[in-house]
This record gives sequence, C-alpha cells and structure tokens, in this order.
Amino acid sequence: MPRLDRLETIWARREAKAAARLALEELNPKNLPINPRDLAALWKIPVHIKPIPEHGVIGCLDYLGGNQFEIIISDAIDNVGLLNFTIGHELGHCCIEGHVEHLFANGQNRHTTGVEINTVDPREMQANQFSGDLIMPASLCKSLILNWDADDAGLGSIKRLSGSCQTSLNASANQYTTLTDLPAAIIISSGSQVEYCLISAELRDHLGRGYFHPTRGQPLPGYLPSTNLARNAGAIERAEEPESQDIAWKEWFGTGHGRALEQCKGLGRTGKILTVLTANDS
Amino acid sequence: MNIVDHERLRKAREISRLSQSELAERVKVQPPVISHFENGKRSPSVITLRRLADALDVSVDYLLGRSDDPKGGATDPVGDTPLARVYRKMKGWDIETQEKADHLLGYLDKNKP
Repeated sequence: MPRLDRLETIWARREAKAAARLALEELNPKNLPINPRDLAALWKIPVHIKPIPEHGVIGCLDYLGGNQFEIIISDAIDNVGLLNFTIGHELGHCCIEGHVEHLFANGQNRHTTGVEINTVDPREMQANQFSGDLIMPASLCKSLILNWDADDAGLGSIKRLSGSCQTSLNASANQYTTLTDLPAAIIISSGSQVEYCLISAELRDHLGRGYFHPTRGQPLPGYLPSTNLARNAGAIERAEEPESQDIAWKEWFGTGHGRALEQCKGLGRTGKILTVLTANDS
Repeated sequence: MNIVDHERLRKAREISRLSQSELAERVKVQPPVISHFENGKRSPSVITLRRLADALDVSVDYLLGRSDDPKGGATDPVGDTPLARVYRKMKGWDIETQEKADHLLGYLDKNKP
C-alpha cells in the first residue's frame, strides 16, 4: 500500500476538500445536520442498510452494471454518527478523481470499507476527509465553533459539533482541528500508544519548526490524564472523562512555549481514548 | 494508472457529435477537463464517469474497456434492483419466451412516460 509523504498528504487532502466543496454546492444545504443520504439521492445512488457477510466490513460501494451503483451499509452499525460518516465515505469514493482505479481495477465490482475510520491508505484517507467536510462543512460549522470555543473550547466544542452534525466524537474531533481558530490538537490513542494526532493551523504556527509530531505507535507521555486513563480499560469503556489538567505543550510536542489544557475521554467499546489539547495561557 | 479507455471516450464523443465544451456542460465539469480525460492525463470520478456514459449513450463497462459493445455490460447486473431481478428472471427462460418478453419491453419502452 503506497504511503504519502507530507506534501502528498496535504495535496491529497486538498483534492478531497475540493470535491466536498463541489458536492456541497450541488446539495446546497441550509441547516445542520446534513444527511449524506440526500446527496446519494441527488446522485441517484441507492443506499441500503443490511447485513454484510464479510467480517469487519461496515460499508460497500457496488457497481451493479447498467451504469448503476449502490451503497450498502452494515446493519451492525448502531450509532447514527458512524452510519452517516460511512455513507459520506462511500460518496467520497464516488466523486474524488482517481478513485475509479482504486475501486474497480482488475474487473472488481465491489469496494469494501473496514470498521477503522482512519487508515494509512491515501484513498481511504481522502474519502474520510470528504465525509468530514460534507457532514461538518466549514460554511455551516465554522461560526458555531468560534462561538462554542469562546464558551467551552476543546472537548466542549467537539461534543456540541457531534450533537449538531450527528457525527461520532472521533470524526467531530478530527474536523474540529480544521475549523477552530485556536491552537489545538487531538490525539486518538489505543492501549498506551498513539494512533494518530491532528493539529490546528494555529497550533502549527505556535509550535514553529522542529516540533515533534506524535505518530502511530509512539507511547503516551507519562503522568498526564490520558496516560492515567489508558491504564483503566473499564473507565474507557464507560466513556469516562477524567478532570482536565494544565500541561506544557512540550509534554506532547517536545517544544512550544506556553501552556495547554489536556482533556480526555474514553471512547466506549472502541477501547480508544480521545485527547484534546487547547491553549491555556490565560 | 488510468483504467478509463480515453481513446474510446474521444471516439464516443465524436460519434455523438458533441464538442468538448458541450460534453463538459452535460457532465458538470470545466471544458479543459474533458481534454485531459481524452488525453489520459486525468481520470474521471465515478460520478463523472457515469455522467459521461449517460451523455454519450454508452456503458460504463465500455468506457472502462470491459466490454467491446458500446452499450454492453461486462457483468451481469447484481443486487436487489429491478434491472437485476428482470435480468435474472429472463436469463432462465427459453429463447421463445425471451422473444415475447422483449416484444413486451419494446411496447413499454415506446410508451414510457
């Protein structure tokens, strides 16, 4: 599987964001939440919710012949956030250039999506980006987040975004980093290791050159709320939120002046932890 | 890797007597994009591929090089669609019954709304 370098990743994300912008121009939504099935209907792609026999597969894009396509979503999905995100993901495969080869090479007629939202596969990453931008568009969410951040930045804003857009906390946290004007970062971890970290443009400017970006497999830093939560599987499953803590940016990034607020929350049965860092210089 | 047959795309447009600009308007892309598709420099998205096939009255399978018949499909229709159900039923019939069904379908096609 090809991996992208940093510049290629930025370019791939831009392509996905541009595709989402065009799709939103066609759909022209006025209010939240955006139902991705409306876009599927506009594009005459039926969406069916039913059992998918393949293990670990939550979504499929099928070419049926006769110029017809359809999306199948697993009926095992029990939350509307993941359901919407998965439909958006499959629609992303439909409208981003270059995905025809990814989907239907070697005479294949079915593309499947696994249960993991994030992946190193660049086409899957693009489809995730498209889905996030479709369901949580800057045009409708940016001003809301600016208001929410003034009131209860970080995890508070992410929860409100999740509620308004009917998306999972994980997907909402990803999108939050692209929409907030604050120095902010989110880290998804599993066990005591980082799965991935996303940072806002403001934080990138704040940290400057030479910061250490937490990557997959890196151990969580010691003596922080997230690290303590990682030792308690029961608390993660109960979606507990330990008390937030004032920390230094350099605890996570090895550099950066000033302080951050670390908030974290267990993500239930996934066994993962969402960590949110926001500037705490006041 | 570009799996869309760009030569077929260009020929199908010429047979349809559409300019690149006219085709671009029908499939909702900018005119230079059609030129890029026909030169094999870019490949269309799934949605644009289907719009191209519909606008040029050819099949997606033909544009993907899976079928040599411009309107034909390389694969049997699958899934729980009306097309797939009709196809599966007719496939099991003898040729005489298929001819009768074709006659009826021709009548429906002429009188479709």
